[in-house]
Amino acid sequence: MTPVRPGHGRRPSARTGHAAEAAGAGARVSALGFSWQHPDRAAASPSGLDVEIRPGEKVLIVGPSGVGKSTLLHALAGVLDQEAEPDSDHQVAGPAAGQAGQLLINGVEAAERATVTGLLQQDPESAIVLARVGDDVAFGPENLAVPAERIWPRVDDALDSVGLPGTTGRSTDELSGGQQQRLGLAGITAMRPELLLLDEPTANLDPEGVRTVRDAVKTVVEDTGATLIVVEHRTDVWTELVDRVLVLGPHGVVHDGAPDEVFGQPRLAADLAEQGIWVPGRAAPQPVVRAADDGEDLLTVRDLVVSRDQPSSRALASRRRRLRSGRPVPDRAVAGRPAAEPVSLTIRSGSATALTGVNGAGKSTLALTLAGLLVPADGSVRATSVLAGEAPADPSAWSGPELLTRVGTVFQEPEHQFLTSSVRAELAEGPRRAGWSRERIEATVQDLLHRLGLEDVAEANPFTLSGGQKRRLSVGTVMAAAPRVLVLDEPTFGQDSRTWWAVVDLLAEQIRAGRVVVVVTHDRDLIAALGAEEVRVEPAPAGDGVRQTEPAPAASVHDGWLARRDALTKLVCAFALTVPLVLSADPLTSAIILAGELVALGLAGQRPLRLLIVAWPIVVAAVLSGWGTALLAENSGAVLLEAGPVLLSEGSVAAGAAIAVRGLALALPGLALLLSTDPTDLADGLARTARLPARFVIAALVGLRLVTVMVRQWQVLVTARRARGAGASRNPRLLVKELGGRAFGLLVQALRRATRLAVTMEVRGFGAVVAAGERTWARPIRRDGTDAVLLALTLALAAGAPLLSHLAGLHRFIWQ
Amino acid sequence: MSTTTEKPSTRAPKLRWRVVDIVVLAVLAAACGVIFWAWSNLAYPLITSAAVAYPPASGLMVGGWLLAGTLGGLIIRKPGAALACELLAAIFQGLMGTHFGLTVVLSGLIQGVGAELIFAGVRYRRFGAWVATAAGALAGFFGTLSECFIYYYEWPADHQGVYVAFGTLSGAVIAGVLMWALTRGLRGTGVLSALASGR
Repeated sequence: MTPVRPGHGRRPSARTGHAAEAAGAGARVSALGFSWQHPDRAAASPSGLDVEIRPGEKVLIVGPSGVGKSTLLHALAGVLDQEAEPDSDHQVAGPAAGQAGQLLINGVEAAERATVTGLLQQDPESAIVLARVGDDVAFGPENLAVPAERIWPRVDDALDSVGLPGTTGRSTDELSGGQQQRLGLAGITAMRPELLLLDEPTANLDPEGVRTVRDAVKTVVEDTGATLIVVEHRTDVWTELVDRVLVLGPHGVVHDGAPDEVFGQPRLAADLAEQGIWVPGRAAPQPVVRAADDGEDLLTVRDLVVSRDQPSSRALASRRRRLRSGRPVPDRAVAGRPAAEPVSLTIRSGSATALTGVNGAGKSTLALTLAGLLVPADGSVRATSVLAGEAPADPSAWSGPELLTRVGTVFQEPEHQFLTSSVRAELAEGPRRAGWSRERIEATVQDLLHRLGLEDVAEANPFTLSGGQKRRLSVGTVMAAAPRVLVLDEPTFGQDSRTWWAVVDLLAEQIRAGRVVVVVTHDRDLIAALGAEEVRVEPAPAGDGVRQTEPAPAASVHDGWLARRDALTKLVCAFALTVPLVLSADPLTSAIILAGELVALGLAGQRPLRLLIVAWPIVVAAVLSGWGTALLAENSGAVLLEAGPVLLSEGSVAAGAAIAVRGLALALPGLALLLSTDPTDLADGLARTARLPARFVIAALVGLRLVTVMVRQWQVLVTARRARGAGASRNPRLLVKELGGRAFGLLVQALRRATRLAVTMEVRGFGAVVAAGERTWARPIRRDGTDAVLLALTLALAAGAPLLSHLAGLHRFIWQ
Repeated sequence: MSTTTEKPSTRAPKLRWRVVDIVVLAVLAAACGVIFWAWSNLAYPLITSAAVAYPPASGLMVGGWLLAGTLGGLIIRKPGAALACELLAAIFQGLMGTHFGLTVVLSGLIQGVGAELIFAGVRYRRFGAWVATAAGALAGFFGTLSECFIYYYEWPADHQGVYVAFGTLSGAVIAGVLMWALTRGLRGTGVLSALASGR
């Protein structure tokens, strides 16, 4: 096999020195009647597990969902107490709460975590802890208290093994899913694990990502000699790599043997396929449906250029109103950066179209534009009268209900689109928004529940369903309002073979009924099964598959004099300036400090114009709060303006101006800090020099990284919910309700991610050791004379300003 | 799952912070930072009009910036969770750029203490609608009262009084009742199963 690692030069000589440190690795695993019971579940899973895994063995575990495969991996990683709070507060060494039997690693209970063990989970985003690649890999060794000078060679080696050499300085946010998983693997590798646990690590990846992750695992296992345990239902990915397959059932191991032995038995292979396991070597699916011969044109697309850069929601609403009233639409003020090469195609009823192409080629953007959820950057999407009916021909001008009954869009993450708290209500929501009669809605919902196989869970909360059920429900919810066109983004990602067929059958049924299915996919089997016409999307020549930058943190200028100063010193300076400002109410103190700040920023090389661009909301807010004070403050001196209840006098305007200047002076240091400081450096300073509790400081840093991720997620939520007819209302009550719905969706995702991230962090040693303060820190703190000078000057300004004001007889405390 | 959340928990509350509690706290605070940002977008026109017409009315929107404290307390159920969540969310919002500068840290601390006092007062055993409402209200009261000293000292006392009353009401409704309902909704999704509030 040729590893796909462009430009990856193995450096065996450089590695051997460190590899020696890890020699002899490979843990022995023994389960002796092991069971674990979640406090909220009726039965134990896994239950009665007896198995012995030799050091260095490579094992694939398969089995139907619910037999406790993931729980077993979590138990081996010693993180079961993160899944449910133990009933006792006292940590006793020994088995985890709820455990029966023994689970030993090298003869010691797994819960004691005596052996270094790595666990990689399914969601790439929760494989990563910190914002910079190098820091992220160093996180584990730091927690294991590896001496700082030995950490960086380990980081380089680990990144080398996973095929990401020379990326230490890069942002983890720019990585693709496959790269994120490999980075997560590097983070584990750098800890020199004896046991490597993989929980469906490639389920959310495209074929390229799957291949690179598998190759990285192979290299890591060869380099470290670690014992490998993989849980996966896509067995073909791993059969070449593993030397043993365990089939789990509800009461322990059902089959145990070499891959050929287990998958070679026709009866057993058929059984496994029945349980949803992709058995290697099975025949590729035949087309189950063909495009109709007499299809009518529904959508015509001409020279369409799509872009993720969209006008503001206000501009979009006004555009929609103009289109609907037949007024001309002005050209977009800001031309969006194209996501893909121009596309022309015609979509006919009773057919399937597959949008394919490499990662970042703009497939999803194209699909959302076809679905009327994004506005084209150039070219046109036109619905024929067959599809549009009395609505305008441009789908992006359709209202929520119009959209619902014409185009249904299913997002990759079903949870983004859930609007209600029961499966039944969820299916009824589209028809309800479309204004159908109660009887018609009930009949449709009943029919759908039956066809989707969701009758048993009709009253359940959609978020509690299994992955396959959620997928079927999300397809069902958009089908409910009977749109002619269905657009689906990667509908088969992460599906086992049973749920895969369920999705295919559902879609084939739609095509037979004369509807249209448009899928964004990498799945060749899906394309074959649906007899889909393939449209290959080529990335725009500008070459950015790069993610768009968001208006969140890190709009940073990490250069210049100020950026080279010590982070903690800058924070102390900012606080030092805040104190006299908060305490003083007179305008002179604020004015002196503001002047000092501006001079300092100028000397520090901040361009004033740039600062103003970033700071304009602050300026507006300062002016507003000044105005508010001018309105309310006691009047004195000459009256400047009297209009109705508004009375402005010299005295009140002076008070207002003082407030505005003070607001600006208060805001500037924080902004300067934000623009010139890497949060990781600040956290280092807070934990090491200021001695704040390391666990909380690091957790805060992790949260900060996710702010950017969640701002992006928020924007996805907005679009995903609009596809279900939610949002874009001018009614304040509905607006607040929609805001609440989005916040709810965001929180569900955030909490899920947090629990998975907690497991990642716990596995990477972020627990007792860090609490005990025995952690090491890989990054040196650079603090020098210049920082001392900065601090001295700032303190002089902070003390001098009120003093000068006092000498001038103007100083006033806020309580005076 | 328990049907009523008003009843005090039969088990003694577990006070030890696990890794998952700490990480959920941080991620929750980050999510609240994003919600603050969205809330600012929504509230901005209203606050602008309030600021132009009758400044103390902006107190009615204050609750949107207090929800992190109650939410943190209700979801994590550990001593210090409300305070830490509000404080951290305020810091995140500060880092996203705000005209209050580093004083958001002070505001977050004061508001967080307001919410925390209520949870501490019931010894981290009750997490029902009334407790949530009281936590939101006290956060609003502390928050707006401190602002009267720090920012609005030029306002006459009666206007300050109106501002504090509005802030308390806004806290009780937005950061109190609504967050209680939100937590109930979240429990229904199963995402809290690893936490004390999911049991």
